[in-house]
Amino acid sequence: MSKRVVIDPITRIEGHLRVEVEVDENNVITKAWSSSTLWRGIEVILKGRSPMDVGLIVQRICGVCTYSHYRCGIEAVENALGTKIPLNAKFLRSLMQTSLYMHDHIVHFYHLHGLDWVDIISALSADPAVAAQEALQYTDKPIAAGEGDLRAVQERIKGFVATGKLGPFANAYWGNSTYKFTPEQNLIVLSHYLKALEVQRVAAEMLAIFGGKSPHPQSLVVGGVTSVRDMLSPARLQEWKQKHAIVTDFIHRAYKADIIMAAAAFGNEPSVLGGVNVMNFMATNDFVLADGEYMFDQGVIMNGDLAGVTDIDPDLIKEDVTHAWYKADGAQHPYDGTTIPDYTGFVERDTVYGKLPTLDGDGKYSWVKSPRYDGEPMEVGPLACLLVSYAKARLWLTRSMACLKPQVYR
Amino acid sequence: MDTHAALYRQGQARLDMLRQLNSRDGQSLTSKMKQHDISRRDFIKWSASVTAMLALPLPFSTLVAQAAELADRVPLIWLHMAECTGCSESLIRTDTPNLDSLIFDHISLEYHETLMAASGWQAEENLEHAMEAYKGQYLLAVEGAVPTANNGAYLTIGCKGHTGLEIIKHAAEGAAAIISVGTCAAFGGVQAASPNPTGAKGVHEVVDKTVINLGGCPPSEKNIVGTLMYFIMFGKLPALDMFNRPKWAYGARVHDNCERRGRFDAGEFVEEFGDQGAKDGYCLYKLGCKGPYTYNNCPTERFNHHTSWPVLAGHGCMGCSEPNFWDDMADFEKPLGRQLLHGFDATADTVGAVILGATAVGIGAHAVTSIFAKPLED
Repeated sequence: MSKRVVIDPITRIEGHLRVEVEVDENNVITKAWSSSTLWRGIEVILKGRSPMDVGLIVQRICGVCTYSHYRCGIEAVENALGTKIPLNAKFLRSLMQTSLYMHDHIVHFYHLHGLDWVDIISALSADPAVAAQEALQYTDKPIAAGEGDLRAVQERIKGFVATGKLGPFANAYWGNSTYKFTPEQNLIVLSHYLKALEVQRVAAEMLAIFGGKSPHPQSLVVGGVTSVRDMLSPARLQEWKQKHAIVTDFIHRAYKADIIMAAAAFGNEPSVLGGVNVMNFMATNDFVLADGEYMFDQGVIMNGDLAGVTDIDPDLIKEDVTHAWYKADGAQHPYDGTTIPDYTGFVERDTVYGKLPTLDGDGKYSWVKSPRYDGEPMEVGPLACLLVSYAKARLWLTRSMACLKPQVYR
Repeated sequence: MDTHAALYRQGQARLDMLRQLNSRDGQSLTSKMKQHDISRRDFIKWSASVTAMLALPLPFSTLVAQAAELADRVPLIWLHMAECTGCSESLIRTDTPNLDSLIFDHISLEYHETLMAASGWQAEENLEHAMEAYKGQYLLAVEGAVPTANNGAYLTIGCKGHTGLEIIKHAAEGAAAIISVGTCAAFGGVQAASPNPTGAKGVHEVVDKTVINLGGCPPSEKNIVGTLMYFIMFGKLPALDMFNRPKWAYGARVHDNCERRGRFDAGEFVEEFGDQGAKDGYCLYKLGCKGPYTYNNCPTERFNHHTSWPVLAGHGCMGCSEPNFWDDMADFEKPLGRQLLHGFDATADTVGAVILGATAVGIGAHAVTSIFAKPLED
């Protein structure tokens, strides 16, 4: 007899996400559904407005990946109008994208995802001296992981836990067997969690130098970038470069070291060994190196066939609403896309928490449309960027992949 | 000064009351500061700057310092409605290193979906526990608008599938004070822009309690933290403007403190993005700057550790701390001219009309000045 588990809210993300799974008598997941439980109607609101305002409006889709939607909204209009922007504007947009990239990865790794694999409570029983030695295994110059740093962090958190009021750490899953780190390793990452709070502020300032503020910068317009005075100021450029150096230093001496440490500890997890489920990847050009030249290439990989990488054909992108709370006749290309709400609600059924409203998996159950490429689901994001550029034999990437120990990737 | 003296006494009484509550961990702020390598002098300096930011006379800085020491007793519940998490992102960028994190150590953050470890059933338990255990005492911060159309069906949260509307109404009942963080929670924000397909509304429209509105998309971290500090110090709402925004942050027009105001007064305008005027830092009014209609402290406080603000980055203000700005201030690259704002008649003696009048006169005056400047020199 299968049982249904409901998880809502999924926390430490942007937006409202509900996940339901069905498990068999051995507690193995046999079916899973994910649902976005919020509709705001941005597509509907955009209609009839000035194309110049589109970037500012769609930026409000997400305040975590702030700037991404802003830039895409602006560039969509530029593409439609055939507008060519100055090379310096491309560089400035790339510098802003770099700032966001650095900020977002740090915040996601430590402050959002981190608590799923760092056991805060376990860190309290660590030996700071042993932990400091351990940190040296992953980099020869660890940051915020000397014996004294770690002791200070441990004492601070001990004091906090002793109050019995755990605030954001309350009622969580500490001690669960899916946490694989030793107490010493947990302490190292906990220290970096706190240090990263400082570092992400610096990364946010990088974005604000050319964007005016972060989140939600305000310096892009159709045709270019407005922060020309910042661009022309040697002091401002140096300010960006200096902050970039601070964040880069943290990435090398903490973030990268923690990834290597985590790869060793979690490398034998079924979820890691099982590989990826969707074997299709898609990436777009990003990070301008020179006019027409990008660090990451665009392309599509289907069925894991790296050798068969092709260019993106935008005509093959469609949005499907079979299981989304919208009305439509079949999958639609975004040019012809409609957004007509058709809410059908939940279905009452037994769950491990008793009777609850649950997702109607056979019908409609989410506010997010399903984007498809040639009818197939695609993975996008960091892994897709790397795979597509690797498949296209970008030299810098081939070289850096060759330096890595193969077991990390197995 | 009489009102200041009364306010000071009120603050003192409030702190005396808070002091009688049990300390969370029995550890004094002094020892915590020592632990974090913050000197008493740094702390006093910080208190003075918060005092200045709140537009209070300097003697109040002692109260600010005392309030920081007591802040750990105020439970904070932070709810997410129809939103983008930009306001939470603004909060985590608080710009006084070490000390601000210390302050947040001292607020008991009971529920915050972006930061909390627990998910699902356990997260819901945390919320229910906090609302019960701290009934009548907790601060409720809300990020995002409340969808009301279709009985609120456009947002559900939690295993039980409650709508955002139900959750807000329930949480508001036991709150000591409610703060709408950002333009969405305050006035509906982007999802409430025409045609507002989800019936999105500001929190104050769906609860029958006073709500402090922190306009801004997002508001600066200083405006969020400063408002929390005010409540902790005085146990009451700060002085509010006609839209329930704290006057200490939203009391002045962006235009009045703008670093390019001299250019406006001199009639020097950027005519198009990228021209010589843009490189020389001319006024952005003609490219749609809404600073003349917008109340916020962006020009003085800026964002991200005072790094910048939109006008410094060469883009006009878009009026994001004002109600309905997505509709009323659009197009964002065009001047508003003599359109009506907030539904006020342009001839009435109202804020909106006064601003519109002043701007028009200002531009007219510049035109006149430049016409006559030459002959007078001759």
